[in-house]
Amino acid sequence: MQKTQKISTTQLAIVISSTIFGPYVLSFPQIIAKAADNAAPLMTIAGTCCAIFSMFVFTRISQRFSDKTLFSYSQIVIGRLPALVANLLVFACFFITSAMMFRQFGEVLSTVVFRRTPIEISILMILILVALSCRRDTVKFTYVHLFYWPFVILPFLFVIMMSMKAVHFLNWLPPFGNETPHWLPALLSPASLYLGSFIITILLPITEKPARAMKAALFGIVVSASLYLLLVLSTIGIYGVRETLQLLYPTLEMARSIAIGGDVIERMDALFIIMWVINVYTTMFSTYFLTSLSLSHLLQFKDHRLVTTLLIPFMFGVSLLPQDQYQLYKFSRIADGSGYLFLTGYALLLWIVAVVRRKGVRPHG
Amino acid sequence: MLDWKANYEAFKKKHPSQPSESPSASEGSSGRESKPRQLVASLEDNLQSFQNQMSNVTDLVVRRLKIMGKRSSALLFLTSLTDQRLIQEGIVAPLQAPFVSPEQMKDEDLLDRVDLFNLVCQERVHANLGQRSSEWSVLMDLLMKGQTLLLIDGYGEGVSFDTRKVEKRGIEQPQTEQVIRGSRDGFIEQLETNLSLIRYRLQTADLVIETGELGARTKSKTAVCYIDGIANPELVSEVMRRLSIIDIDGIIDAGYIEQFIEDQPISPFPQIQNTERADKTVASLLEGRVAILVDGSSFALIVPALFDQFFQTIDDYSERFLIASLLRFVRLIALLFSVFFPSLYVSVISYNPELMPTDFAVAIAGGRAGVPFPAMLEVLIMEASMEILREATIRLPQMIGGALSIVGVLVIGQAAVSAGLSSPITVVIVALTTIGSFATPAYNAAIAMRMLRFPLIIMAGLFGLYGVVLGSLFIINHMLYLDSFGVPFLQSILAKKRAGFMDTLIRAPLWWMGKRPSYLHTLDDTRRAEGTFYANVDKIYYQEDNADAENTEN
Repeated sequence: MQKTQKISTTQLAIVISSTIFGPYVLSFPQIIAKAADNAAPLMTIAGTCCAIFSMFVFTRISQRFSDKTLFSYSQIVIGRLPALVANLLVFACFFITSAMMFRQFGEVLSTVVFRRTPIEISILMILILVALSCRRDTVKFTYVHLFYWPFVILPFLFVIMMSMKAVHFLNWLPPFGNETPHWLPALLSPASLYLGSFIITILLPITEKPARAMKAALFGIVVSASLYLLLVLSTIGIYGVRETLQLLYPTLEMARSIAIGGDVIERMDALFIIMWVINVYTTMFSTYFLTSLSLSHLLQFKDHRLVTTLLIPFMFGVSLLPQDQYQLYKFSRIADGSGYLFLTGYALLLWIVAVVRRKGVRPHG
Repeated sequence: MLDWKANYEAFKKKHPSQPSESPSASEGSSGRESKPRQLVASLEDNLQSFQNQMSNVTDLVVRRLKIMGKRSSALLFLTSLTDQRLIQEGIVAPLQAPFVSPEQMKDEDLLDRVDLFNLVCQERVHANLGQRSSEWSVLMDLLMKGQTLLLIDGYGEGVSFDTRKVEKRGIEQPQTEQVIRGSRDGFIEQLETNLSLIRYRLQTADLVIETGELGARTKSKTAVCYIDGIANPELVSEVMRRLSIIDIDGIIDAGYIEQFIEDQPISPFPQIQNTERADKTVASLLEGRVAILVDGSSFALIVPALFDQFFQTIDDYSERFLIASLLRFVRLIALLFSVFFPSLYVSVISYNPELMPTDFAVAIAGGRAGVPFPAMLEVLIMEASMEILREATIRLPQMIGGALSIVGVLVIGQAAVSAGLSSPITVVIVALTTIGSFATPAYNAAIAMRMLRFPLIIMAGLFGLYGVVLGSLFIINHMLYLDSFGVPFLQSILAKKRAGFMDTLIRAPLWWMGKRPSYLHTLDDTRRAEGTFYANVDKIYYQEDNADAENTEN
């Protein structure tokens, strides 16, 4: 009776979009405003295009080996040892980014919700929850994303829609910014938001129609990207760039400013943070899943369950390394950016080598 | 009749007090001499060994008789399980009757020439034939099931007749699943009756009932029902495989089977549906599910069972679809109430009072002014006492049960408020929670949900809304990971196609739900004729004029 179940193209798109739409939603408008000034919306679009390119590479290379995960086919393409080294780097990349994500999550909680609770407690709680839920196979992994997707997307749509009336269109001008933006950080910070799209390399083997995965990937990215864009547009439209720079979590401020139902619910921010927890959870779930899968492949375990448990103390330790918020954000910006560059480069290399050496099958469509 | 003193002495003799010497109870009787495996030709020897083996069985009757006045034979049966009247009139009387024709009467050695068993079974006995065997163990099992054994001198064989008759109660309305609009007959303890209730609703040769025995000692008859041509053979074989590996001394209730065949034993959620209703069972069979019934239990198990099934009742389908959909929505809200209300209340009161409108927050604070406990403790105390009250009302005799529940609520609620133990709003919250949990039709699903609110309350007390979210994520993840016979527990919500949605959150009109649930992988997935959907949609726009016009044309 135990059939290997497959996921449909729509479900793949949902997983991708819920993975991508992650914890950065709170601080992203501030980050991009810092890097790109008034050109923030345009740079978001440009960064998305970069991300779509890497997504394209991830999908194409995975489609050539539609029954294997990246960790298996990289050995076929570039040989055992180079693949081992590269996969170790993939593991390191996701390990560090997810550790930083846990820390950021803890930081937000201790700034906004629990001002007196030690940050270790709030990190440890979500860490254990994520680790426990990673103990199942990939199909169950997609179920989790499917179920929470509405809770990830809808609250943000709601907040954006409610706050749209306060937008001053003048704040968006000039669209190209007052000065030349710092190109690299301005491109990398939105592009590295989409780091989670790497998940497609492990999801493709359980997809029903791998040939149509490109559409799904595109759809997933576009959904999340438009939400990010809307967020940037509305925060900058409401506060203007200068004020956005002063706000640590502009999206949260936006949620705080709205009241619904004639002041029946006066403060939305507490509810909003709770919805954001679900959002963070799905993203962390994906990265933690990727981390544990890559590690179990490196150690050549059949089952990744042991690894998920073993990773908890290390993840916890690394997440406590940054001394303060400033260091944390600086460090995670670097980790995300270099991670994005590395993953795209690695996939591109794999793709080119696979094409040259004629490994795998040419995808149709 | 022996008196008890003699009984006691006989027992002591049989079971010497030194445990080391005595073999175990089951071997005690057989240990005396090697147990014969086959019957022998001599009736006296056979009866003798029977007496030896079954000396413990006090309701065994050995009725000696001469077949047609010539050949000596014996009937063996248990008085407690058999229909005495049938034995007298259907077996004994015809056997003792003399030969009908004088020719046969004269033919002295006729009885030696023909097979007497055949003659007896085909021409004489009125009772239904059981089984013919020369194995001791087979015959003993048959005897223990209430069949009557016939042994004839000169044959190393015995034949059994079906004379089983067990006392049973009448068919009543199921107490656990009351409906407004639906049939009033429920299953009872006897398997035969239950199967007849199913067959009566499902008069098709495709209904397959496979029977077998479970329990090494109780030998409970178990039936697996499915519809051939609808149910997926893989599902049926999986059910049988799981039943076949059950090895236990006794099956007292269907719940025993449920625990052996469910996918995830460590879970608060039921993964197999049970029902007392015959119509519900038939509806499930028609969907392509498999039902398991066991003798001695008035519940049928239905697999696979998904989460939404526990929130559906049979009268959803007989009522107007709009109303039924609305009722399902009400049940969903009741479910959310019963799980989340107390924990949300605790976290809002203790951590996020700003979420409430100011006036209301002030009113609540006023109500809580005299309460000495933190909100978490207050709610926990009230919820716990409510659970005690609920549990007590089940045990109470019916005459005072109804009175106590009302009095109990009044006393506990009113007194707790006036004693300063709890605030009025807590009483309201607890009442809503409890009532909400009773809106769930399935008792086992409802109690799972109700008990899960306690960890959530504690999480809320410790971490506020954040704790509640983490707790609910944990619960929901657990549900997402559950399987019921290979089908994900929340499949109807996660289904790839919209078809799953038709019969979960809403109850679409019957002509709309043309397919069986896709996750069951049924062989025949279509329920209604082609075009029913469009015909019914047309009816919405064109009312009855068309039908009338067609009628007049004809």
